[in-house]
Amino acid sequence: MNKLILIVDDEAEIRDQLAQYLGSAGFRTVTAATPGEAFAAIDREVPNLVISDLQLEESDGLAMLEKIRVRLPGVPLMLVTGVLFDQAVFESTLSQKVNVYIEKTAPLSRVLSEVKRLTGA
Amino acid sequence: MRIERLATLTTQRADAARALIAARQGGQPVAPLLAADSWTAAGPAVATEVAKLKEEQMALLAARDTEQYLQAQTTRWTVWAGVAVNLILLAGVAWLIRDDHAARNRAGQVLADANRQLEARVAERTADLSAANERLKSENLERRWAAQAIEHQLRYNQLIVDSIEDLVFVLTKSRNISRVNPAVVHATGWEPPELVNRPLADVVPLQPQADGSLVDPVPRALAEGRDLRDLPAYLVDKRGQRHPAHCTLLPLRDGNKVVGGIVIVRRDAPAQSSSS
Repeated sequence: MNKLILIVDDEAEIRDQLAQYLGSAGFRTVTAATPGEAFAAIDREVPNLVISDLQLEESDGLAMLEKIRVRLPGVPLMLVTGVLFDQAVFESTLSQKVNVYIEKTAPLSRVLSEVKRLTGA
Repeated sequence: MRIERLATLTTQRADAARALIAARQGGQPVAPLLAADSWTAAGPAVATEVAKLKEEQMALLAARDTEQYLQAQTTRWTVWAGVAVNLILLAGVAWLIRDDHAARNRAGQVLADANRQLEARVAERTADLSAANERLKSENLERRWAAQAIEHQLRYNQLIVDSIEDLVFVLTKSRNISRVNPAVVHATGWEPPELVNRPLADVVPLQPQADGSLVDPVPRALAEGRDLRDLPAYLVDKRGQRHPAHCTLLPLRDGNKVVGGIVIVRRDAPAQSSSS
C-alpha cells in the first residue's frame, strides 16, 4: 500500500495543492486544518509522515508536532512554513523537534524529494 | 441383291420340294425330279448364297463393331480429354483460389501489422500526451504553489510591518513618500492617499542642527547608500501641529543599487516634548 502523508495547514489552498502534488507522485494523503483534525486522522490510521505549517489557527504547529512525536516517535515530521528561519536557528532549535524544515517559498519538487527521502519511497 | 437372289433360289427349291411332295403323293416317280437341275443345283446355290450372305453380314457386323469401337474410343477420348481439361481448369481455379486466399492473407497480415503499428503509435502518443499532461499539471501546481507562497510571504511581511509601532515611511529616491504603515495614519491623522507622493519634509521636517544650519543630509545619504540614525525631527500631523521626534533613514537597496529609502520615525516622549 502507498505511503500515507498527513498534511496539516489552516489554509485550504495549501493543503489541497500539497495533497494534489503528492497524490500525483503516488502518495496517499489525508489533510487536516487543525490539530484536533490531525489527531483524529492519526487515530484512524498512523501516517508515514506528517507535514505541518508552523502557524495554525487554533494552535502552534510546532507544539502539535511535539505532541505527535511523543505519541508516534518513529514517524518523521516536516515543518513547512512561510516564517523564514535561519539555517543555524533550525539546527540549534528546531532540528530536535522536526526532521526537516522547508520554507513555503521552496518549490514543490523539493518538498517531494524530502517526502521521498523521509518515507523511503 | 443377294437376298433377292437367295429368295429366288429358295423359292425355286421350295417349288421343287412341293413338286416332289406332289409327285410322291400322286404316286409319280420322283427320281427325275431329284435329278433335275433345279433340285440338284438349287441346294448348293442356296448354301453358297447363305454362306456369302453370312460372310457379308459378318463383315458388316465386324465393320459395325469396328465403327462402334472407334466411336467408343472417340467418346472415351473426348470424355478423358474433357476430364483432363476439367481437371486442369479445376487446378487452375484451385490455384487462383489459393493465390487469392494467400493474397487475402497477405493483405490481412499487412492490415494487422498496420493496425498493430497504429495501435502502438496511438499508445505511444497517448503515453506522451499523458506524460505531457502530468508535466503540465505538475508545472501548474508548482506555479500556483510559488504564487501562493509569494502572496503568503508578502502578506506576512505586510502584517509584520503593519504591527510595528514606529512610524514607517517608504521613500522614492526623490524623497517622496510612496508608502506608510498604519502607525503613521494613527499618529498623524493623514490617510495614505493624502501622503503618497508628497515630500517627506512636509510630514517629517528635520530640526535645525546644533550650529543652526538647515542642511538636509538625506539626499546625500541616499545617494551614498548611507544610514542616518536618530536625527532630531518633527512629526507634522494633519492639524499642522509639530511633535518632536527622531528619525532614522535606511537606504532601500535592490541588489547593489539604492532605489529609495525607509524612514523610521519615533515620537519623543511627552516630557521631552513639553520641555522642547
